[in-house]
Amino acid sequence: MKRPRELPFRHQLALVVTLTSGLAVGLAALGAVWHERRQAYSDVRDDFLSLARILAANSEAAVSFGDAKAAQETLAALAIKPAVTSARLYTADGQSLATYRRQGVEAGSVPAVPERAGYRFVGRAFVVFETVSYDGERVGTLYLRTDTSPLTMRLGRAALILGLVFLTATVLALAASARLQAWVSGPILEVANVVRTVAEQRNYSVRVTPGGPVEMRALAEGFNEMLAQIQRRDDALLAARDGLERKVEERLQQLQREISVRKTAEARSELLSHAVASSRELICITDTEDRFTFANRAFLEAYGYSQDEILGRDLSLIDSPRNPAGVRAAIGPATHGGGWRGELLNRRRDGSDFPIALSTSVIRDDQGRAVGLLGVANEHQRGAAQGRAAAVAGGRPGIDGRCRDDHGTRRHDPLGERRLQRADGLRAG
Amino acid sequence: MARAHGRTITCTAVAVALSLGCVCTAGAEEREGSLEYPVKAALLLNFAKFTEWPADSPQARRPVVSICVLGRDPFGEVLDRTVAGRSAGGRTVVVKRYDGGEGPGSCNVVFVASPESGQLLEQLRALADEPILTVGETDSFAARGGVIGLVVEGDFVRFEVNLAAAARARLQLSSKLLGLARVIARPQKQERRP
Repeated sequence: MKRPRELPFRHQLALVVTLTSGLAVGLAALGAVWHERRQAYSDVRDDFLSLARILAANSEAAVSFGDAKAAQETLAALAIKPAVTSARLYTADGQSLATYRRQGVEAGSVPAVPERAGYRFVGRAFVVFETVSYDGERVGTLYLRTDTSPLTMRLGRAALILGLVFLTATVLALAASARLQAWVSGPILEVANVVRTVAEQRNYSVRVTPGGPVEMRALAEGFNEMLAQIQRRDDALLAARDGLERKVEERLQQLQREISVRKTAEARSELLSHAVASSRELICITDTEDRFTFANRAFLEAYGYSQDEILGRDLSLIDSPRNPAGVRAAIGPATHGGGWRGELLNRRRDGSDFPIALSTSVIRDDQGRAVGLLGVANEHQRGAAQGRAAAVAGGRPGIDGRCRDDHGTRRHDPLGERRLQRADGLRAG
Repeated sequence: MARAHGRTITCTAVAVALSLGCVCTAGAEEREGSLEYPVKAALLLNFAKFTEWPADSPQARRPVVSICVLGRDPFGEVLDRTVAGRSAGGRTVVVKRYDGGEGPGSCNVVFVASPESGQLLEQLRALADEPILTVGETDSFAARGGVIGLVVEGDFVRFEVNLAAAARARLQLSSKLLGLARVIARPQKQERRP
């Protein structure tokens, strides 16, 4: 047996209704029994007190005159009242004058002497002592004893009937409430079902059918409205999520495209970079202020500098003072004017000069702005034809790389005697 | 004759005496006849109680009810003790005694003991039209014109009522009293008229 508060709602409801109606019927039945009992005892009391008074009045003379025969005759009339079990008339001094006993009643059951006037219920009997008086004087006493067991039986029957009524009413109330509770519990259970559906399936499109009491209808409508709001919000969220996913997807694809493009560009750039770096020409780049921004391996080897030592330094670092005057000044404007070619001397880190054949140009970006100057040189080969105007040196690798781009201040300064000779030759040429 | 019957007075008579408060004779059967007059005294008082006198008569108007013993008094003090402190119809009861001569015309109850002398009978006849309850103990007292005659029968003291005589005297005897009496000489209509 489950405890009441663990029962389902509809059982609780039926239970509450049954208990309430049972209580009401039970109280009504108790009240009815109580009233019936009171009324019955009151009736018996009134009835037999009246009888006692009538008898007392009728026996005044007999008692006054001590006429036992007449007194006996008066009492004999009690035979018409079967409830009266015994009666006795006493004279004023308490002597028994006449006695009445219903058939089967023991002689000893009648009191030998009278008590004070009054009445009382004794067990299943009602006992009266009534004063017999005449002309303002007490002349004797009447005793009357009545059997009240019929009354007890009547009350027992009434209690039994009311108990049956109570049981029947309770059973009927249980049956009725078991059916009728659906009026109230139905809408609540429906709301509960919808709540479960929503919770389990995340389905906000379900709705409660409003029904039952006014408050339940209001609850159902409010719940539906809440569901509708949640559904709208949910839809908006879903839409937003879908849009976001789409955007992310698009962005991702875009990024992938960009990455692919960039990778291509990087690959090309890397190739170019490697090409420049790997070139045996002496290649260097300066910014527009003549400061080194790049020098390739061949250049560094040729000049004896490391990358760190040269980057950011001014171009004049590698200039040789032995170049003929004017050469260097001419290179800058020529470069900006489309490029400069020629031979001149440059100085290594250890202070020795060597001749290079140099070609310069301006590095321009996509918009055509000058972002730097490029110089490509090779070590002027000693064995090469001195008469050549352009400085192109085959020579031994490692010696002739010479970056002499940049603005003009680049002069050919061949190192050593042979170079000098050649420079002279150039100059001469 | 009354004495002859004295021994036969019953316990009922004793009860009557006791019920009227006459305790003096309880269990006093040691002397023959000692209970007869207490019982009769109690009866006299009760007769007074159960009788109504005509409203316009002096018997009804006087503040006392007088029980008179005419001639020989067989009660002695018994009657006085029986009556002492008692009332009838709200009036005090007193005892008077008349031995010849005038007077009993104003009594409520007149008792004539046995035997009755000729003079007494004459006096009684003279009172027959007065509103006086006449009580005697001689045989056939009621039949001969008295209102109530006391008769000792076996164990009981009974009484006979002459309703015609009561009507002539304009006395109203209680039906309860009559219920206990042997009624003789029911009155004719015309006889009841004064």
